[in-house]
Parts: sequence; structure tokens; C-alpha cells
Amino acid sequence: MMKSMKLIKLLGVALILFPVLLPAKVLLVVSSEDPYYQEVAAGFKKSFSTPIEEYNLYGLEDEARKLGKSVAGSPPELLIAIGNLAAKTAKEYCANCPVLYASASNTSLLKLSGAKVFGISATPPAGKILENIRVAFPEAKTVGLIYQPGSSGKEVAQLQAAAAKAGIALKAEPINEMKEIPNALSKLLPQIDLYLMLDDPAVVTDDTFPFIFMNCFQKKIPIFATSLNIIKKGALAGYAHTADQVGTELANFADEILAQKVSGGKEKIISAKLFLNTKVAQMWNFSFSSQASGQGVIVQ
Amino acid sequence: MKRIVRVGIILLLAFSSGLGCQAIKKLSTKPPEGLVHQNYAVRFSGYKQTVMVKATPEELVAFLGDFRNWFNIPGAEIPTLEQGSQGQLSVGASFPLKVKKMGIEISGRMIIAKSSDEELWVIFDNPRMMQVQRWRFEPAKAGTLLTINMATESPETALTQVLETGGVVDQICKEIDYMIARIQAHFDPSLNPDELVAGGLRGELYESFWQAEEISAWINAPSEKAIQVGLELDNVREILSAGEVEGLGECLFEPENRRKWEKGEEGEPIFCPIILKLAGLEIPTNSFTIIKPNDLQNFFTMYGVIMDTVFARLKLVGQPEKGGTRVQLILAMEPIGPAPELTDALVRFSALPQWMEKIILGIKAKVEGKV
Repeated sequence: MMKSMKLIKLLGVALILFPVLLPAKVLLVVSSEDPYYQEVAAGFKKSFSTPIEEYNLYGLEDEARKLGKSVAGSPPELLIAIGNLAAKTAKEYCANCPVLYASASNTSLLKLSGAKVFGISATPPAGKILENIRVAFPEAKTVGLIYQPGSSGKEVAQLQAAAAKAGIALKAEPINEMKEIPNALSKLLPQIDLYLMLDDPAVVTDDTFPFIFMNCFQKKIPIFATSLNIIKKGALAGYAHTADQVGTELANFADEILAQKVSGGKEKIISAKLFLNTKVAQMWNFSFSSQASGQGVIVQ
Repeated sequence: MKRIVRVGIILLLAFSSGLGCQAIKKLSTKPPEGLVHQNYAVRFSGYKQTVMVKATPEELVAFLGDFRNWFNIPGAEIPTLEQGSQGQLSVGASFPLKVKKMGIEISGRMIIAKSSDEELWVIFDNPRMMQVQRWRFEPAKAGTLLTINMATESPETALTQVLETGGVVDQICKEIDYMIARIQAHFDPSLNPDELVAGGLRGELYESFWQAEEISAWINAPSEKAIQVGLELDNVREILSAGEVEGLGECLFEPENRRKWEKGEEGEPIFCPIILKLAGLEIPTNSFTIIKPNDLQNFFTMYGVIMDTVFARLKLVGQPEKGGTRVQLILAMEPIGPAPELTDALVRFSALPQWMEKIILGIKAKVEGKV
């Protein structure tokens, strides 16, 4: 009896001194039932062996608040946020938790950064985006985009540097508020032959997309996007991450963070794939080159 | 002397900025012949939120059908509410509404534009700013996912500025939050509306834009005559059939609709399913027409739900000009996204300006007595 008591005490001391022996409390928060987010989560779980707790916010602010109260009382060792609502929940309710985000395009707007914040950028590498524009639209000389500096200023600066190297003229039209979109668009469209649609939530939403799309369509300016959701919505082509790829990268990154192999807050920029939207191409009477058709994945 | 100098400086500034030239042009030129085209974006400011309601979509729709159950925003009045409003969720039903907030009074009419167990679309008709609402009911494990989407036209006017900077928008959003929380609590008594709204706004503000096409013509007749002839039912039928709109003429001649047309002022909408023929494509549209013969700026407004998918508004506006009337036809519609089933319509909508030209030329010919 005395021996077993001693053993228990020893084990207790060991666990205090070496917490790594305990399984980490990892909380996976998925923003909604959106199939892309669900696929990222599935890809993550396939490659991640540490036990996790999972929470689906179903796109509901109420759920975010409920979860927020619970994590504020008992913070996880790592909060993995998939999508914008999950990232917002992490920022608002778990300010001091280590956070790893993916498929969240609102992190700059939220100012979700710091020594304990890690993430996978929603935007692929700038050079690769332009390289793939060249493949899908070899004739495009002037590419234009609308952006909000506080949201995607960093990505636009990288694109501008890469465009100069690639010999593409990039016209970037900044806006401060969404109400400036119509003016920015009417200024931009006469000057460009391709519209580059970044996943910038301060510009492109479910509500502004149809307006930008219709204006581009009427002026016969094709849209090239950097998110699979936008490509599926109606871009002609794009360079974007697949959900499975993001899930796998997310799992590897989470392992590195838990093993303390990375520190100081880091955002990974990962390469992506060329996608072609043939349904939209039909609407435009557009045919992709054999090189694009050979390299690109057709979106359904 | 000082006054003369001041006036002189003002005139000089006005002329140097081009205003003077425009003024001279207005005084000296004849009314412009031919059609004047313009297109622009119409801004809408919206608020949307999604919540879970512990009820089936059918139960929820039945509950919403009686406005007394849930429409209790402070400052808002529905004059016909006390008469009972059961069944008012049928397409074409309408009721007047008055909202008073921080000294600003906005009155108009709510029109049910689409109604099913999946969706409820409502138009708020107001001459200065219209509002569209989309309520979506999606069955879920725990009940119904209710999404409410309200977008209000926000023209660049002083009133919009007051609304946007004076905290009125936030206050209205907060009251919408409360209204929705009360609906949730009705079906789940364990919920407390005060607690649900305690953590700040539950929804998100957003912007959207409609596309507007405006065509105007100068008509050689005083405004009263233009309105009188333009609103004569026989003329409307003839003009619209020239514009290839099917079904409206017959519908307007139905006794109940004719009464509404002739009564006009009360702003009761006339609901008519019509077919818009555009470049060979037949586009089904539910139309809701409001006639205000004594209001030159709003004497004809037709709201529409095109192909069960997008909202639109067609307005006929008169303005006295050089002894005659400038008649403007303004079509504003939500942009159509690239849905495969709408591809044909999307392509054909480029023919809309020609369609509008036919209508406005028809009105001009009728009023000037050239036909």
C-alpha cells in the first residue's frame, strides 16, 4: 500500500516536471459545414495522430460565443482554426492561446498575429500565381485587382515585386471601404485584360462577388482567382490550394508546434494547383491552351 | 460695395469651375432630342445573421405568418396589425409600415415577393430608399437554420450620412438581433433573449451593389399630361406589348387590380406574373406595381423577382424641363452570378437597354400623340 502511494506520488511529480508525457489538449475548431472546410479538417485528421477535441461552429455566431466562454475558462494547448469564423473566435476568446489557422482570409483584418500565432496563408506564393496566369492566359499583359491595404496589402506588395520580374503589368486599386468598389472597378476595367481576384474579405464577399463578376463579364475581362471557393463560384481559372493539401500541411505544422520545433509565430506560404472552370469558360466562349489543359485540374 | 465684390467673386468662381458654362448652356439650348443613356451602381447596405431555431421550417413559417407574434421593433408601427395579419405571407400581400428612429421617420409598404417553406422575400417600398429582405429556412438536426438578410438602398444623400454616422444603423441592427432572439426564445424557452444579445451584434454588416440602367427622353407635353397619358391602362398595355412584356396588360385589367391602379395613392401593389421577352428568351418575372399619380418622382414603380432569383426595380420618373417633361426609365437590378441555369439570361440582359428604349419611345409617341 505504501509502495503504491509512493509510485503515484512519483508519477505526479514526473508529470509536473515533464508535461510532454501528457497528451496535449488540442482543439480543432471548424467554421462551418462548408465542404471545403470539412475536407481540410478530414485531411488534417488523417495525418495528425495526437488526440483532439473537435468543435463545429456551423457558421453560427452563437456557437462561437458558446465555445468562446468554454475556451476562455480552460484554454487548449493548441487551438487549430479552420476558416474565418474559427479564426475570429480564436482572436476574440482565446487571445493568449497558441493558435494555428488555415483557410482563413481574415487574419490581417483581425490582426491575428503574435508570438503564439501560427498559420498557413490563404494566398499561394505570389510568383507562382503569376506563373500560372501566364499558363492559363498567355495573352494577358495587364492584370488588375482591387484590394484593401489593411487586409491584403502584404500580398499585393509581394505580387507587385513578382510581377515586375515576370514582365506583367499589375494595376492594384486600393479601397478603404466596400462602397468604393463600383468606382474602383470602373476605373480599373478599361485598363486591364485580366482581373486577379484575391480572397480579400474586405473586397470579395458573397454579396459583392456577383457585381464584380457581372461587370467583368460585360467587359469581357476574365477572372483569375486564388481561392478554390471563388474559382467554383465563377472565375475562369485560378491557382489555389486543395483542401486535402491544406489539411496535410496543417497536421505537419501542428506536430512541429507541439514538438516546439517552430517558435516566434510563423505563417507558411504553400504552393497550390492550377484550376480551370470549364463551365464558365463555356459561357465566355473561351478555350484554354493545350498547356493549360494539360496542367490544370477541372473544377466541377 | 463689399457685397457686390463678394457676389462677383462667387460668380467668377462658379464660371471658372464650369458651373457657369452649364448654366448658360441650360438657358440657351433647346431640349436635347433623342435618348440619353446612363448606367451606374446602386449601393445597398446590409445586415445578415444566421441562428438556430428549435422548430421545423413549417412551424417557423406559420409563426412568422402572424406579424403580431414577432414584429415588435420599438418605433415601428404596422397600422393594419390590430386587424390580424394571418396569411399575409402569400406572394403579393402587403402592409403599410412606419418606423421612427431618433427623430427620423421612414414610412412605406412591406410587400411579400416570394414565399415558401424554404424562403421568404420581402420588399420595403419607400420612395427614397427601398429595402429587400431574404429569410431562408434550412432544416437542420437541431431545428431550422434561419438566415436573415436585409439590404437597404443607400444613396449618397444627407439622410444616408445621418443614418450611417449617427449610430442609427447599429441601433436598428441591435433591435433586429433582439427580434430574432425573441423568435428563438419562443421555440426554446431555455433561451433568454437578453443573454443572446449580450455579447454585441450577432450578425454582420455588408455591402452589395445593383446595376442601374437609365434611359430618358424629352417629351413635348406638360408633366400632368405625360403622367395622365402614361398611366392610361390601354396605353400601358400597348406600350408594354411593344416592349415585349407579356401578361401584364391582361392582369392589370382584372377588376381588383384595375381598382388598385385607379385608386393609386394608397400605394397597394398590383401583383402580376409576367413574361419578359428579351432577345428571344422568355424570362418569367413576378411583378409588383405601385402607382402614385400625384407624385411626379414616383408615379410608376414596378418591383420584380426575376426568374425566382434576383430582385429588380423599374421606375418611371417625370421632371419638368423646358416647357415639357423629361421622362426617365430607370431599371435597377441585382447582378446575376454565373449560375448555369442563368447563363442565357445573363447573356441576354445586355439587350435590356434596347428593350427600355422601346418602352420610352412608346411613351413619348403616345403622349405627343404621334400614334
